[in-house]
Amino acid sequence: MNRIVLLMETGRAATLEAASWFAAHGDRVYLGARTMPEQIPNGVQGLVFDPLCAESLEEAVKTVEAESGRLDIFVTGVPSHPKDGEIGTGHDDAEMLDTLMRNVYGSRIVIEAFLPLLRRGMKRIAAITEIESSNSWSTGRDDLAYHTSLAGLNMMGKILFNHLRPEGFTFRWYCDDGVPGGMCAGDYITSGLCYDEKEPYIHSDENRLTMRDAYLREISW
Amino acid sequence: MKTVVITGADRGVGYALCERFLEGGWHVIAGQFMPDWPQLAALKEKHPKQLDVLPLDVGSTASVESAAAQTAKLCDHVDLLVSCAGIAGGDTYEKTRAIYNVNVLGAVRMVEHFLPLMQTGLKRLAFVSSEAGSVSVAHRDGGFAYTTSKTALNMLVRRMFRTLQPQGYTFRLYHPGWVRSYMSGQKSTIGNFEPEEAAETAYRQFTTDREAEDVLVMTDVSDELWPY
Repeated sequence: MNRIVLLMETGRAATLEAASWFAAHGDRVYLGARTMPEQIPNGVQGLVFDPLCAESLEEAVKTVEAESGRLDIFVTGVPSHPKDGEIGTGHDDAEMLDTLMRNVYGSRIVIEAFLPLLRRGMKRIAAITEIESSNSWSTGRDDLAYHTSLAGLNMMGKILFNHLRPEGFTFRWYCDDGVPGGMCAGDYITSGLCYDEKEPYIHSDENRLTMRDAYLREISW
Repeated sequence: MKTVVITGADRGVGYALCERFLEGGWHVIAGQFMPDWPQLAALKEKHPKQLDVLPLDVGSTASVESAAAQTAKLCDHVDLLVSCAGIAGGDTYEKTRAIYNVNVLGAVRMVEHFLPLMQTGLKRLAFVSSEAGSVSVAHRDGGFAYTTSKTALNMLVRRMFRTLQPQGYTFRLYHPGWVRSYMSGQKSTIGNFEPEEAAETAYRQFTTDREAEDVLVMTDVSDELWPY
């Protein structure tokens, strides 16, 4: 398809699988992270940068611009997952704050930095997240830093949606929960959400931000 | 006499809650962030035995530790902890960090350090949140730091609830409405409610038992339910 795709986060298997999926479909795929694992999927280009370092982020944007001229799809995620347990077990406040900053603020800053390139492409912003990011559905107790930042990322997506949808941006929020079968992240992120061409456009899911799993089940926020 | 600890008690909803709990006959321990702000000192003169004012910066672990230690000397247990301290304004790195540190980490610090004082008594935790943290009804197209901080706070409370409710704790998650508050530094001239109005409903909700304490809900100043 020759789309230009940038996926952030290397710690989630579904993100790496999505990178492979895009590459297998003929897209130019960048995998962005502060550090790159030794092995990344074939056909995927590592893009090492620190979202919280302005110079490093600027360099990454310049690289994609010089090599590809635009960005079609940006896929975000939360890169940091400390194991900080339940309430009442003691928490490293500094680590929790750093996690929120890296996962929520950092994700927003990267998207904003790449917006000029996204405006030249197909204008799609996506996230690969999980059901435990849902304030309504979450059933877990532990890892407060990680889960508060997952929830924060959802709100960041909603604010971006409100801001950018009028410009023509489209959004895909995909829940990866290891359910066998169904739609993989790449499939969902590239899917059209106008189910019936005869229906008015306003009836489609493009005009509201939804979070869905591999079987297209809508996950409450 | 029941004891309540209130953060962000200097002014706005936090101060109004102090006034209301004193009126209701509670022993109030007010967390004071701004010693130069005169309202709490005047309230202390009016209620010398019922009100204790402690220095408290929920953004500082050392300050919260110190406040918990001082509280332990003032009472044998705390019935109700009200996390009211909150700030807003700005999306820069520094502003975002400050907002997360107070609005999210502040609640974590308070609960972690005050839980040992809450093993008996009412065992109730109350958090002043906002509709701004509700993703499903978010209509804003800016204000990333504040909105994401409130969504994160709601997730935090959700997970605390899962851990602590089976141990007998009860929870209140409260959206005070659009209050003419001091959230951005100066008292706002716009809004739908005065702090005293938001505090009046909060007092009733925070002090009244519910039939269903095994479900976490967010309620507002009009007693309506909100998705969170």
